[in-house]
Amino acid sequence: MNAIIGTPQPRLDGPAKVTGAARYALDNSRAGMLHAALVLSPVALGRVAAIDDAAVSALPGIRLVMTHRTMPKLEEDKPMQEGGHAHASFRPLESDEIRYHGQPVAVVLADTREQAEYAAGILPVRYEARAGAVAHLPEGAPSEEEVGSLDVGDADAEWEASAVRVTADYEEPAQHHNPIELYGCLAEWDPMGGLTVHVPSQWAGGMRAGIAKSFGLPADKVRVVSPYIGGAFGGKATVLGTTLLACAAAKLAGRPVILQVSRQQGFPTSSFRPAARQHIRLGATAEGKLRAFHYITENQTCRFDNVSFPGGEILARLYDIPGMKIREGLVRTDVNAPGFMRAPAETPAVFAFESAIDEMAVALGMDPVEFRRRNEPAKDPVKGLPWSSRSLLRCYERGAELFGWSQRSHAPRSMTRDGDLIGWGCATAVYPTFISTSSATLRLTSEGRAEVHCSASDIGTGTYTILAQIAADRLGLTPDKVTVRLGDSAFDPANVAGGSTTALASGNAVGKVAEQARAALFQALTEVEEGPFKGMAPASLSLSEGTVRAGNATQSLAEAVSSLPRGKVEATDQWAHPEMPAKQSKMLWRAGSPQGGPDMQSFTALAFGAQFVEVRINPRTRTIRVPRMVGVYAGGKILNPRTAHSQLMGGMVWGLSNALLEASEVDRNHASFVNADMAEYHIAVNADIPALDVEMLEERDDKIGPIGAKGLGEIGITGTAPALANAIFHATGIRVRKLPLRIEDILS
Amino acid sequence: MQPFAYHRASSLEDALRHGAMEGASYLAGGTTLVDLMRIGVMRPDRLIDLRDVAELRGFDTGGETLRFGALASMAEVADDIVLRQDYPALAESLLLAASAQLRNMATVGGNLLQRTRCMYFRDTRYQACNKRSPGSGCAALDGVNRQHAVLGGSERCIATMPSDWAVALTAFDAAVEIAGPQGRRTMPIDSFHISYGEHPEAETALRPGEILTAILVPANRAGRTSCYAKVRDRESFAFAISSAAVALRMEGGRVAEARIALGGLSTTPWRATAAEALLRGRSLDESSMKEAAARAMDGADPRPGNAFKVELGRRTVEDALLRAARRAEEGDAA
Repeated sequence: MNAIIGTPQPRLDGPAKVTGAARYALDNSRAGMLHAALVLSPVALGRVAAIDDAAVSALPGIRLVMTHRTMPKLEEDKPMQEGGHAHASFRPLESDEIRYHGQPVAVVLADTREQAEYAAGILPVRYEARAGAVAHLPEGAPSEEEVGSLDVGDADAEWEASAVRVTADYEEPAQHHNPIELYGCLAEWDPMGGLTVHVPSQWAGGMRAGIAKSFGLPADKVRVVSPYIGGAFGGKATVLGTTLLACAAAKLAGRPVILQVSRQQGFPTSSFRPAARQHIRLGATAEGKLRAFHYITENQTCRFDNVSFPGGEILARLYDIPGMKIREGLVRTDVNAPGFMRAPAETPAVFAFESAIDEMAVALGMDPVEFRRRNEPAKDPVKGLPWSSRSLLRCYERGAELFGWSQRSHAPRSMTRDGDLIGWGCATAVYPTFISTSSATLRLTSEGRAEVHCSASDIGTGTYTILAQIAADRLGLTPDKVTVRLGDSAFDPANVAGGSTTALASGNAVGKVAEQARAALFQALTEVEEGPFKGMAPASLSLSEGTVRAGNATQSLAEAVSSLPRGKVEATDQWAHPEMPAKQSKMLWRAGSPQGGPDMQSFTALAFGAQFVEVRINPRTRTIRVPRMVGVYAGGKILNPRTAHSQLMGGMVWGLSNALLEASEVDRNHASFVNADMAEYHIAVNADIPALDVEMLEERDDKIGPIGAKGLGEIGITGTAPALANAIFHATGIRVRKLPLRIEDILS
Repeated sequence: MQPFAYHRASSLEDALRHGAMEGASYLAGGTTLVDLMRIGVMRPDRLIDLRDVAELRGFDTGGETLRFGALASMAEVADDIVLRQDYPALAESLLLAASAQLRNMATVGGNLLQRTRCMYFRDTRYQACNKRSPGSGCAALDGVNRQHAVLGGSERCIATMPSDWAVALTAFDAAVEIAGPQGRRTMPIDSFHISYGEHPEAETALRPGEILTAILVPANRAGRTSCYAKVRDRESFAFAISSAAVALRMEGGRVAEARIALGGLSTTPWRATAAEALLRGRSLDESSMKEAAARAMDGADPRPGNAFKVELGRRTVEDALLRAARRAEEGDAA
């Protein structure tokens, strides 16, 4: 049989998605269901003084107006970073207090969505506003809370001794995920007090725990169902306030409630990538050996939670630098809680650092690829541990070859084509290999099929397909003989689909239970009276092409399973890396999110890549276009080159969008995100995306777990923005240190 | 969305009769109006759907006057071979706008009536918008105003007119044909869009109940060497940060006729007549182009968020002039 793992398999969920058979959360409906619409506060700070619900309650179809006065009381839940499952500890309608612009202050329930939206639009609400709200990262604002600190060697002495020095400040704006599938849910209480929530979810098990906690229910009274997700990117990892509102409204109304949060209303009610600022100092010898790295940051958070994404400890793994000093801090602002967004710590950090590395290469007069080669670390500079595997330089070599980097004329403004300015830039892409744990169940059926159950989510990444491949590989089946069911809290616990952990953790869990099921099958077959394998040694049996064999005896898998007393074989187990402490891995069963890495006990693991880009700039209007991009990555074992390619390509597409287009603009008078729709919050369109070449190098990694696959979900986005900024410098001689990189930054 | 009555008009007379009622609004492609109704910015009591009104359809680019029925779709007009060859600026202004799906739905008449993209206008959570609620103020003046106008604004409003098509039409002295309860009239396009002044809520010269029925463009040989330059962050599906429609007629290496109109920079389509005059009789070189481009932006009144648009506007004019000049050379060579 041909290898299944490592071959380009089409997405098993593809046909259902393109034919519309796949049922997303908001595709569901129930008899007697009510439609919810939100009323959002136009003030950022203050309180709700009065709501005249009588003014709309007589309108056609209106069934209920829920305000802070009528909202059922919720139990507290902590934000995910503090061990809970909430998006934010402060949740709307728990009191009359308003803490950010666009905070929900009322929910209107009606027979139709149009009726609910109309009433929500005219509901008279009187606000008492307080001045002084701030939603942007104020210029020069000092850190209010240190969330990351790392010292390697004597960074100050190394800086003093450096012959060449670069000092630069970088800045990134807030950004919103804007998945195609809007936020929302269908909440349904049953007569026994149980609650089922259909909600797009990266973590069915975590959301179940969070919703149960909030409503004071045992976890088994709540079920979260989310088989398909129309884009998540980190925004659908936690229990949003709006989800709780829909559940609460359904409880109050005694009927199922569906809430679809509009695009505009999704901005203030969901999480977002917080604004960030980095102050960098790099010191090097005249020969291009890095000596010192100082990294001071301020990241935006809200008033009520410490949401932090320190990226410094990842940057510290990129190059061999003897002196490093990293201090990362938070600045509080009057916004809803920020949250995870694809490579949350790494995306801004890598933009800043890889820009600074390019600035240093320029200062040294050195080819930026050669500069990186001279600073390649033999082992983890922070912990001194060996790398589980590391192929950064190979990525650069192959990328340079694919791109034609040797043709680069290194002086800024030295390349043109048809009158346009041409710039070539490169940057490192990196993402830590977080090693999580997962459980799974595998059942062999009397039809000769395998069924895999796991509560992990496929957020469009290909999880359905790779888990089927792994099960098929272990069981000698073709992937179409494997049914994978995911995204339901009733299934076996798994980690959040975050941190690029699912392929490795749930993949190993499925591999483990598949092997156990196979062993159990073999054992049982040797005990079947008058069966063909009766009395044989279980180890002498094999399973391939849907057939059990031993010596001359054969039996189809379907017949073999049918012959067993129970008519099925089932295995359930958890996989955890041997270096994960048992105390940590057990947290999986309490809806925790156990995660090790990048440094484990005996090794440090990260995935690396190299990106090369070309920019083409109109010499007059300074319009920035990107004719081509090359990304070469090494991510351990590539389970499915087809879905992995999409992951990496999608990451680079977003990387371009992140670099050139995306910013949630803050109106300082209202402390609001003002460009709250797809017309004004620009994401890249097809026409922006160039010839995009993605290649994956072979990389063997025996340390991270049996399937040896590093997560690829997030690395693609890192590196694109600095590569583009570096290319723009090369084209124009202008260094832009603030995202997005815009026309006005290079106009003069 | 506010409940509304719907009437599908069978003829222009029928449409005008229903359109005279209180709270009526005409519906053509729906790509602006329906959006704005969904988000509560426009709240008509009744919609008069014009789609079945036959005389508003079709277009003719063959005669001495090009005539575009108001209901002709952006897509069909942009695909017209005569327009593409003889008036590339007009065709490009349509092709560079919106997306293929929207161009199939949107009409060339409705295009001139589309509402501004000002974010404060389009979000009812912001109370201050003189366009949405006259007298309430303007949140954009000291708000986020990167995309706002540096030309033609007032202390009451600096929202840009978003149409690309209107800008190109302005360069060609187009006119619009209007039918109303009092009969029909025709007016030049540069008086159709109104400078905001005290009343930014009034955007066009249309009176209550009137329908824009057609767009007229006098034939012009300079059309062949015209172009529409559109600057935007995104390659497609974005409104202009700045744009310029330019048409040139060259004689003996000198500019015999120049037509320049600006978009994305102004509250109305902005004809740069002083810049046109400056170029007349001169050769097109770096210095004449730069002078003309600077003149085109005379009177600009920027804010901190859009100060770069004064320089960008100049560069856009230069870019458009260069491209039109290149077309003139290619035409001579052919």
